Amino acid sequence: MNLRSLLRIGLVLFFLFPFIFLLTQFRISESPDIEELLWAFRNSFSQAFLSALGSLVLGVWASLALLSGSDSGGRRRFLKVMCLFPNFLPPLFILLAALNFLNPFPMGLTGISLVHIVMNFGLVAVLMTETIEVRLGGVTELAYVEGAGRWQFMTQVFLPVLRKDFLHIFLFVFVICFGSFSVPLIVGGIHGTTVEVLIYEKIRMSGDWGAAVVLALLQSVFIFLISFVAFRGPVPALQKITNLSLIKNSSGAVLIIAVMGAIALSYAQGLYRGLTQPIAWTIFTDDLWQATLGTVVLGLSVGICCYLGLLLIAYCSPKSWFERFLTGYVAPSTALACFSVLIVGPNEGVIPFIKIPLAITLLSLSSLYRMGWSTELQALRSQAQISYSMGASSWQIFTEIIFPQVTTRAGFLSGLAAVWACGDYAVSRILAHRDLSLGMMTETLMSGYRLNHAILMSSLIVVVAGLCFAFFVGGSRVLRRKFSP
Amino acid sequence: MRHFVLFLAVIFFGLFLAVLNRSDSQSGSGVPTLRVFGYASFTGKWGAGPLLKNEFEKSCNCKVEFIEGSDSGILLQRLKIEGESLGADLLIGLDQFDLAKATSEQSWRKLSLGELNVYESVKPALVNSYFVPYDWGTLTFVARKNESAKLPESLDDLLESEWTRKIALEDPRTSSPGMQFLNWVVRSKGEQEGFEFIKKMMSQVHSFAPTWSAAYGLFTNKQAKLVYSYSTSPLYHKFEEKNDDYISLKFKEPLAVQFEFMGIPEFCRNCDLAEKFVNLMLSPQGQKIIMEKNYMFPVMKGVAENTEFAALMEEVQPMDQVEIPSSAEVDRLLKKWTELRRGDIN
Repeated sequence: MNLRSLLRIGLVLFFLFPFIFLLTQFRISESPDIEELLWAFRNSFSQAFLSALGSLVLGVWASLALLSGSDSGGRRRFLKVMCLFPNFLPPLFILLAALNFLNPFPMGLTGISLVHIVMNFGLVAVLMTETIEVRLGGVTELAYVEGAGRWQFMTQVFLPVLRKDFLHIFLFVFVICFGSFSVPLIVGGIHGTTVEVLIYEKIRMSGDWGAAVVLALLQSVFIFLISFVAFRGPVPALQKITNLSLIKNSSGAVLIIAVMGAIALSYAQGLYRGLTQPIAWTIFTDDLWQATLGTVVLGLSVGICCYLGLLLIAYCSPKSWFERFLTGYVAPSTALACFSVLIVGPNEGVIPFIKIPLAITLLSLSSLYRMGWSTELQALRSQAQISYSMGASSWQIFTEIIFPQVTTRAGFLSGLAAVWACGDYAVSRILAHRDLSLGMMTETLMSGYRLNHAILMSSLIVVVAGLCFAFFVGGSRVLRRKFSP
Repeated sequence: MRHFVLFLAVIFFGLFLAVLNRSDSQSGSGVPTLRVFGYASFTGKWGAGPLLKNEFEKSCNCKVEFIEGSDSGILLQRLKIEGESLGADLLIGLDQFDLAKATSEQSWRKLSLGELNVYESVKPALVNSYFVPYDWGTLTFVARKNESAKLPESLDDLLESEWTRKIALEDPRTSSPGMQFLNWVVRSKGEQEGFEFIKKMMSQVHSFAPTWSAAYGLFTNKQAKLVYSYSTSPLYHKFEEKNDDYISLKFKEPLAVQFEFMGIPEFCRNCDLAEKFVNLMLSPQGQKIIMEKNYMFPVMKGVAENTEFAALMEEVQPMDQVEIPSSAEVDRLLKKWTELRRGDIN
């Protein structure tokens, strides 16, 4: 067995660790209530499907606006930052912003989908922009020169060529929304009970870990089956020429500015309320500096782990079963994954700073894979095959062909993971013994009446997360330049 | 290339060491460490925990270390998983719905606290010799003054059209106050009528939030006109924000009571210190800190007198019997609640 095979197995075991470990630790005492489970599945499925569909449609529309500006232009950069803004904030703040601006808010499936769409369509737009550029640049130019109409191009080239990318991104949003917890409960009304809520209930109220693991396993198998059915056929190779006049459309900019502007405005109102309260200064304690440092360390650690994880996946690819596994894999619920990490080994001193990044990497790496990493790798396959047939070694192919072309994307994806880590409190709260980060401090403030102070503190998260994101995006560009032949 | 990677590595490890420096400086050398498991808003910077810790460390020749959890249910699971290996000496923050589960899942030390000079309404909570309450509160609906012409005075008033989609509640499966509301209704109206009432309430509720903080956030952001919270919640706004706009409602039905308990696990390492900490929490000084930081009523007499807490304590009408329901009973109620929710869409 060669090194790549061993690494592949190692990665798969890393992903499966929570399931294997928890199944050996806890006894499954009774079968789940089928009626309740089906109900929760139906709720999870319908809200995730609508959310993913809406995010994809609006995301693609918004991406056409992002394509209108040049890659290095200020307008495009501004729109990109606007698109990514919801990723920098805790979900409750987005939710409150949505509720503020739509009054009365449509509760139920529509409400859940609306909030999820607001949270995700910007990210989809950014991902789709890059995908469209690298996949359709040359074809678009050719079609433009040959005189093809916009509609003709959209129906005969745009949709068929990007079909698989759409599916990947759809599945990426679908999985996130399927596992959503707070949003369905708050705005879902009678549709609020999802599988994730049942899992949490089993742990919190009954302490029935066996039942919780079974539910998580069923959820993962379900997603795995969907992805198995959804992904067939080859991915077109990368093209790097970008004349996209035929599909550029500025109208999506209005959507981005309207939605993200509304969130930003609501957030600014909260900040103002926090600042004007008589005890605003009390959040600036000596612990704040430590929490800021802790956030930076956690953000960077998660980013580095994800960057290395993505490169490891790139090195271990292509392998059909491995790619199928990564596409379909869904980590168990946050609580289960974290408790499985908590049970293993000690939890004192430096250990939380190791366990938290590992747990967040475990929870987010498969999402990052679906966010375009898989199609990026598949599109380079022909180059790798040609190099292999010309006698290049696996290592040579990786360092000289694959790495220089994918490092920028890896940097972007790891930057996003770092952003999520900066705002995290769910994972940290289980694995850490005290408030280590700004995310945890924000949650502590919220749980003690101080919502506006929490918003004030979250502005620091935005700053730190922005720096971490810039670090990974910039760092990966430097690495690309250094490694380019 | 190497220089670049080395540069990044040096920066990263520098930051890492800076953070660790703080972690190391917190663990005392040579003195015993009392490990207290508690929920975040109690142990956090703005909670009662740090003040109690400072007070205790003045005289105990020891260090107090808090281990945080998001809420009592998760804290109990955490205690089960890592409590013994970590050396948990004291658990703070269980409510009456957690007690049966806590007793069945862990062994606890008997507490010998002698005769406690507690309020009458607290006496029913002293029946368990393994756990002692350190604070308590009644739960009711909180509203903004002058927002509505007529505020509800009974559970049935909540069904009036003015409150349609304007009430923020917590989900009983994920939140302790949510469970309190369910229990309140069932006990006030009887089980059958109670669930019928809850069925009618479904159309009145803005949302069943997963946590108290999410529900309260919806209320303070004016998404909801009423929120199920603590009778003492308006005092927080009054004292900390100088905002007198909030009011806790009086109801015809006696209000649900939440007691917060503490207990010492059998496997404690510094059991004597844990008992001393329990005593501090029940002392006038400890009770005052808890009352002022946790915004809950003290259990011991002689602390709240001449404060607004005492005036409020006089006003509220709590349920006269405190039930400590079994885990099976809690599960049964929750199952029925879930079925009711499900029935709405069938």
